Amino acid sequence: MSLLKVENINKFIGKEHILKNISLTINEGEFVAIIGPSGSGKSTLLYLLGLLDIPTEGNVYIQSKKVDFKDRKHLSLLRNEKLGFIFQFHYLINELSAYENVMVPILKSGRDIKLAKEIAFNNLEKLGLKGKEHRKPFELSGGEQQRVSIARAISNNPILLVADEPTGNLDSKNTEIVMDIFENLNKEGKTIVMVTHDLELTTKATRIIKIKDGEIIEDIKKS
Amino acid sequence: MNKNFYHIWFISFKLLSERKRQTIVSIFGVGIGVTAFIVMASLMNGFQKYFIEQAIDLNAHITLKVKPEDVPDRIIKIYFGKNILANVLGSRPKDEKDKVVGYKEIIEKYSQNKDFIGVAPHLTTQGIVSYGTTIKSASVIGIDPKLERKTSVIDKFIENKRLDSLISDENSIIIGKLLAKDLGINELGKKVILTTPNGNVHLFKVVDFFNSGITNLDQTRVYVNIRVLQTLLNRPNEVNELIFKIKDVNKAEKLAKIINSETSYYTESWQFAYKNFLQIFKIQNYITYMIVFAILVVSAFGIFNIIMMMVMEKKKDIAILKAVGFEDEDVVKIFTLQGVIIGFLGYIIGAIIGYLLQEWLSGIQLDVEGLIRSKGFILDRSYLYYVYGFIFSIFFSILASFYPSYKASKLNPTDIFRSGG
Repeated sequence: MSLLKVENINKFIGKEHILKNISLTINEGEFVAIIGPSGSGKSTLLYLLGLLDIPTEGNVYIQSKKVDFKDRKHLSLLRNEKLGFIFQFHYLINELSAYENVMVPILKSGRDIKLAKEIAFNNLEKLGLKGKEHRKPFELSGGEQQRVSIARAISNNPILLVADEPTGNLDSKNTEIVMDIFENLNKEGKTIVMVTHDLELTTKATRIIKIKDGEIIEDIKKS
Repeated sequence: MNKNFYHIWFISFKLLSERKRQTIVSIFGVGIGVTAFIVMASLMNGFQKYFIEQAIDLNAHITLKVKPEDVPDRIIKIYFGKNILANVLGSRPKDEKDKVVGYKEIIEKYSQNKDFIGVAPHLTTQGIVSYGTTIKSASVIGIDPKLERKTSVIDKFIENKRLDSLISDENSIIIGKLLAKDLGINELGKKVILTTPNGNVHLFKVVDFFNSGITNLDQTRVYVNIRVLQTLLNRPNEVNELIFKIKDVNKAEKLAKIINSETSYYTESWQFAYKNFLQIFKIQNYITYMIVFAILVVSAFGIFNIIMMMVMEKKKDIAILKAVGFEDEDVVKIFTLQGVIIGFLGYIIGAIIGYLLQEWLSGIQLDVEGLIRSKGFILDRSYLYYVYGFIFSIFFSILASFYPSYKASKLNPTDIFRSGG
């Protein structure tokens, strides 16, 4: 079932043509790895899929519904309810503890603090951070920080996880831990789109999209 | 708390509480502004209100008098027309006496009007008061004690409440406290000689002191029975001034115009009589409020500074908040709320310090002698200054924090993610 579809997407930044007429469908349960060299447009594509950026031309559909990029409120709502983000840097708020960081999207969705706290603690436990809920980001290791950011990304039970070089800042051990988490989440049915330039990481993906100079040059679905 | 607002409050409070030092400095900045406003406004208005109340009470709400007609330039215009350039070196006053004709009818008429509380006749003149070898000039007012009591609050300012002595003993005189001091009179019962402009002299016994607190009046004013003054001035049954007490002091200007049109006599409201003072007070208020405004603007810059710095430092956090679904207006609210929290806490501190300062100032014993006399600071302890202080502090906080908040809301998260934060 189509979860996300982009149709004839073009993106210009200034006069530079970053994405060239891209059409793509992400299906439910897929673990998609987008790979390509630096400057190929893979992150721009990811931001468009994550509704963080607006295409110059073309349409995006989420669960078959066309996204109206002019309706900023609706875009925010979609990002809060349907999407989860993980970046190369953890982007945790330093003033908040681990569980408070995880609670942020839940509180935004309007749920009460008790429930938000419960979800945050469960997610952190699931990602192996039990006992570290009250720690501030600077009291955690790099791998732990990234796991907190994954816990935050899944806090509202999104339909799609969008990850931009999620292991780019981690050592090999933590990279493995994070990739195992992604694999497990995917096995649980979570759809993941991940941008990476590390080909080794694509082994866990169910589909690999190669992009070069703003165009999809290869789309491989593993059986 | 409204759950749709909880996420705003949650982030705002957390961001602010982690910047304790900067936050405390900003809070005290606002607090100083609020304290300055409360204390300065209550001091300034306390003094002004006291002065106006005394002036209104003492000098009648409306005064009717015979306006001098021989104004030199008016006369020149009558005889030579408007197109004349003349330099008048002096003019001799008219021989004709200034008197209010039919004053009894006027008193009768307005005493029955529901807008008026009382009407009293005055015969005023200048005189010389001598005690022993000390001689002082004085403003002599002949009064009818019964009507005067109804029309002014003279009783309030007479130290021993012996106004009726002017009736029982027509040789009685009430003299200003400072005039008595200048003459060397410290106790009642002393005899003074009053010399009127027509050269008549009369011996009076001091029966009371007049002590209004307004230096100018206490230094010059004396009261005698109107009948005695009429005799001394050879003006039997004549008065040259009527004073009116009205129910609503704010209607004085309007009622003065009505009396003027009905009697054709010159009338003056208390506002007109004290317009110079009122004008000075207005300027004084402008200066005070400009100073307070400047203090509040400086404290607003403090808030602006802290919020702007926070926005600059928190770009990554703003980007991630937007990525997880926070809207532009949420971001505006998060940072504006921090400004409002600073403003509110600043107000609380400012109001407490302001209140304590008011308490302290009102307890200070001090001999103030100038335009007014008092034994300390006269404060207007109105709750309205606290209300205005609250409005100003919140208004300035919103004003100062809105721009950085707006800038924060317009940050593009992808720019920040692309640059690696």
